[in-house]
Amino acid sequence: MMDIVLSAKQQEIVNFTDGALLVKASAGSGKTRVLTERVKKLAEKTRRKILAITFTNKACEEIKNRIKEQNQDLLKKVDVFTFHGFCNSVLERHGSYIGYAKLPEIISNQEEIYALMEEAVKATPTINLKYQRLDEKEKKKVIYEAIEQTSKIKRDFIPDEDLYESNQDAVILYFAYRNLMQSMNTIDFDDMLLLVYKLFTTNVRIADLYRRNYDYICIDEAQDLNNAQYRLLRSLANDGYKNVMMVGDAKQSIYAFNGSSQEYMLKHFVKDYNPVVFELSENYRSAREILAYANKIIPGANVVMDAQIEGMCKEYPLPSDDAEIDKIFELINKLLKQKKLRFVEHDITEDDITVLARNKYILEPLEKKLEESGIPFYYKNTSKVYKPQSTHGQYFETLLSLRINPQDVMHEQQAKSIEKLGLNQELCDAIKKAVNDIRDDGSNLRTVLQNINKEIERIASRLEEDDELIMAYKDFEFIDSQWVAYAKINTNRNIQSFRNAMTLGTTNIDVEQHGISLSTVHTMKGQENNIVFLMGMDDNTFPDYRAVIQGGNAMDQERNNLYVAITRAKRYLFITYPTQRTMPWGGVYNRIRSRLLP
Amino acid sequence: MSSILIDKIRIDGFRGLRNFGMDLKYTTVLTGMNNVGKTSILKALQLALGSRNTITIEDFNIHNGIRVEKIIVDVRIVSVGDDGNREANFNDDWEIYFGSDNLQIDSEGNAMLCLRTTVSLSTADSSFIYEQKALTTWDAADGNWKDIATTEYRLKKDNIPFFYIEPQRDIIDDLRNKTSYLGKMLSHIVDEYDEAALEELERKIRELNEATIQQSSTLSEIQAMLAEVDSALDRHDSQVTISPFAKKLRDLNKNMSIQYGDAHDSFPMDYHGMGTRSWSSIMTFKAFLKHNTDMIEHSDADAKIYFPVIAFEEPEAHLHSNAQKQLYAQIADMKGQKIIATHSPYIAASADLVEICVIYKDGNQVKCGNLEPQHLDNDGRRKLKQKVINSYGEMFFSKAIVLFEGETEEQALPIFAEKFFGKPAFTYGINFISVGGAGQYAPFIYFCRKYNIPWYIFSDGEQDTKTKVEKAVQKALDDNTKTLAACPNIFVIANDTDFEGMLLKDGYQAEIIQALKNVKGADCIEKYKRQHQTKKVQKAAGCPTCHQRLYDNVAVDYTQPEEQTDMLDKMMEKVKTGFGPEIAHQIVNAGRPLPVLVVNLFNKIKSDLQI
Repeated sequence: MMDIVLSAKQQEIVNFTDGALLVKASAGSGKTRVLTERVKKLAEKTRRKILAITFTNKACEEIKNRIKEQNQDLLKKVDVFTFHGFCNSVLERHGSYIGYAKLPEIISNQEEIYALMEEAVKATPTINLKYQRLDEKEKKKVIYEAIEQTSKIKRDFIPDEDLYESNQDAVILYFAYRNLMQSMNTIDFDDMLLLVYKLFTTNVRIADLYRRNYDYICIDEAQDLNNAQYRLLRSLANDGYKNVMMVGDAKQSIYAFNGSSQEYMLKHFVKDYNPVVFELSENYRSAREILAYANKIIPGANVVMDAQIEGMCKEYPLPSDDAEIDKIFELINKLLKQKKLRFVEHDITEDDITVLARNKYILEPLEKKLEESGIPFYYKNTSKVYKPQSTHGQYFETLLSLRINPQDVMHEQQAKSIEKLGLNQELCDAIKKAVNDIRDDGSNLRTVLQNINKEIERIASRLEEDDELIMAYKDFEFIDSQWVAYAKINTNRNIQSFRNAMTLGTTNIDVEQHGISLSTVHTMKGQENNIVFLMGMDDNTFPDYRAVIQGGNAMDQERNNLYVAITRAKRYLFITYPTQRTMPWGGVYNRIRSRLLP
Repeated sequence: MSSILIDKIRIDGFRGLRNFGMDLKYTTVLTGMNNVGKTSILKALQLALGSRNTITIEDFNIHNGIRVEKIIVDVRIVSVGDDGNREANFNDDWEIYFGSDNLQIDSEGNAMLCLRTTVSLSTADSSFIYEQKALTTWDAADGNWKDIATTEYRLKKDNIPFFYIEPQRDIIDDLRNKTSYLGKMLSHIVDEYDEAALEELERKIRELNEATIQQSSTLSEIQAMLAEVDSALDRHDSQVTISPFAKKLRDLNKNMSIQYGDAHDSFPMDYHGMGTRSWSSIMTFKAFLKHNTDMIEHSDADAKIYFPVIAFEEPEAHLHSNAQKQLYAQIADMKGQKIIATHSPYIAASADLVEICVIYKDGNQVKCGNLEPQHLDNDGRRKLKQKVINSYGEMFFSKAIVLFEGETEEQALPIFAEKFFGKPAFTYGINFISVGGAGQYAPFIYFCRKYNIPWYIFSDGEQDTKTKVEKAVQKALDDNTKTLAACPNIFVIANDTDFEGMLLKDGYQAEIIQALKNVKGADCIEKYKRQHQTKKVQKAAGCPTCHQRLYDNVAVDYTQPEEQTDMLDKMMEKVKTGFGPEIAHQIVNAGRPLPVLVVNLFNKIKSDLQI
């Protein structure tokens, strides 16, 4: 268990008992810790329960684990849920009061929702007439728009009476979609919030049960609240109920696509509950040097002065990708040998070291090196599901799905949209042919994949240098390795079960979570470590070559990613990049330092 | 402060119980024939609230030759206020104990916890799978309660302990057995003394032991002999002592004895009969409950809630009827909820009417009959209770109940019945109950209907009487269309007359005269004739001025049969008390056939009960 030393301000928040509370906290200011500590303290105090709401299942697990670390029994008094988890639990127990004697099937899969909406369109003759005249691209747009409009109507809790007047296609489709869902006895995520809201507003006695059940309600990442979620909260925490805590960082609002807005935390909550407001802007995670560095990437993101420990932040340009690996390996050995470091209180072990990179292939050579040397390591993977990293790899996977199920409209459309991204025509043809050539039992899959890579090699030899081709090459190599792993444990082999195994992640072998952690920047969100290596910081690797081409938002997103990556480091941050990279099929090309680095 | 109550239980697939449901009170008395399933109900409750390791494959109901796959026991827990009515919410302590979000609200807006316990057989290894869940509602919209959706839940048992009091109880066993209620209490006694007191008491026992041995040459010798055994074992660091009295207070239960008796004489419990021993065992259980209650009251826990649920199986076993009469009050007085399965009419007679549930079989289906307070007015309730007490509770165990209005029938019919059946009627479980007036039938019919007891009416035949009886029958059966003629179990005296009138019509003049003489004196007939030599006869014309009726005094001729009949009718009306048994005996002893309507009634009962 880690020692918990809270700052005076953090302690003040933790000690805060009754009344509404708003904590505006920036990254690294220990907001989840403060929230967890307060929840623990309240759980010890109350005879009732505490409702803690977060936005991801992963965050739920983290809060539960932190509480469990201290006291297993406390968890009995704390319900940690996502909004949907909470709704699910309420509907399961009390859905019968609004006509759901049994919990209906919940549709969360985007593909299924797409298919349902398409059916809704087809079931509405007036719209269908127009729809059928559209080309594929326009059709797709119509469906996505209808999905978004429907979701919006549900999120805004617009009563039917206000919609009857309208003749808009969106409203007509909304009703058609809803009827379809009803006839199948299914609901979607938006419905869950709406249903619980209805339950609480029409069955006051049930809402009372929950209101009494929870002495305190704490909401993490409150900047991501949307209208439906906020109104659901209001329907539960009304009638003079004051003990609501919101914690969030307006700068980190990320879920904008589902109608979320920081307004609910910053304006509505303040107006409706008049909370005591605290601001946490000190970054406790990272040392001064590291913060200063991060602040150069996004100026003003953190307050640096309060960071107690100096820390270290260093950049290493290296002549080649091999040299980069050697350097990191050398540093790791040095650190492990030294054990006592200036800025870390305890003797360090492998567990204190994390290596981050923009994509998984950057980490592979290091993985081999570590494996050879016997230093323990593992991949930090939230899900083991494999997703091709290159566009051509994705194209291959999509065609493979279509090959398995030719009726699969979703993948058909996906293939078309990938084609529009601008594929290499020769490689595109090669992939199409390859997918066609694969035997059902996969007995020629390895040859097919190797042929694709030979084709990539051939194409690349005529071009200057091409990041996409390199990434694709690695994807096909990886799929090849996955087939080998799959073939070893399956005697009755076919490409369909292979694909399923790959999407379920069963082809990945689970490694023990101990030693040096290797991670892509995406899977590291919310985690931290004392020593962080950020490798592969050459341009077109980080930022990703596709973001460079797209520019705008995509580049902003890359900048955020980098900021997140850097602030994962608590004490030591080592940034490395090669000025030359070797292509998988041999030969080298030149690289420059990432444009994102200060 | 409000309390909780398990107000309903439903059982399916357990032993003989299928689709069975009943209401429970704070004290519920289950009666009924042997083998109808009273014990099964107690055991089902145990399955839901107490230990589950008693299940065997035999407990799974067999229906149409097929063993059911699942046993279901549902119980509903509600909140009850001091006034005995349900409350909207559980008090805070109970609500926290159950978890607010596990509660449901019924259609009247009252909170409830609906608990489902199931046992099924694992196909893999023939072991039993026990599951407990919360139901999302109690009443299924489509009536199919077995399919109600459930959610994850398990009732904490700490503050709702379940106790099963077996019919075989013996305080002697309790004393020796550390796991008995008495044993459990005794084993904790040592904690109640502080160290100094303990030392002092044990020192005194040591002295007492030494003095006892010293003053007895036998004991001293035994001790000396045993010391030799010790030296033979070649152990010098030990010594043998014998202790006539327990050396340590923690061993109190080993040597404790209980004496019952008066100031001069007392017997150790071993010499008492099983009755006293069994009763004492129940009383120590009561002490144990009180002990637990006190512990909780004085604990530092936030919630000082304690609601034991206690199942008593035949608590009357071995007890003398006088003890049985007290037993109900002693059990009812215990904290928590009590369910008593009994054959004791004394216990049934002591209980409140609405607490009594008769378990019976309707074909293959086990059912439960109980009176609902809203169907009984205070007057009806009081009358019923009176008759129950008069019958010492036998009414609940009746196989047939014959209802009528008057006293004469009450006295005469049992004598006729004994003649008809050749044995006293009570041996067949036939009870004769006078309801005390034509309008008073309703609560008694309701009683019979709810407890599934065949009932018969033997009614006078006057028109207004018939109307009253019909109304009462309609009320009790909840059926406004019911007519007397449509009820084969209702026997109405013909010719617009009453029981006495019927006897005259049936030609029992001689027996009536003899009965009257026996009751009122040998000269009563002559006396009557002397006093009633004339009678008033209405004149053909009334008073010409005021139109009032005018009468003549006319001499009565008692040789005329109609005058004789009229005289006997009038005399019988005045001599109700004591006449009933007398006339019945006269008829029976004279070897006369019984009145036709009475014979019809008995024949009907005979065929219904298959006597």
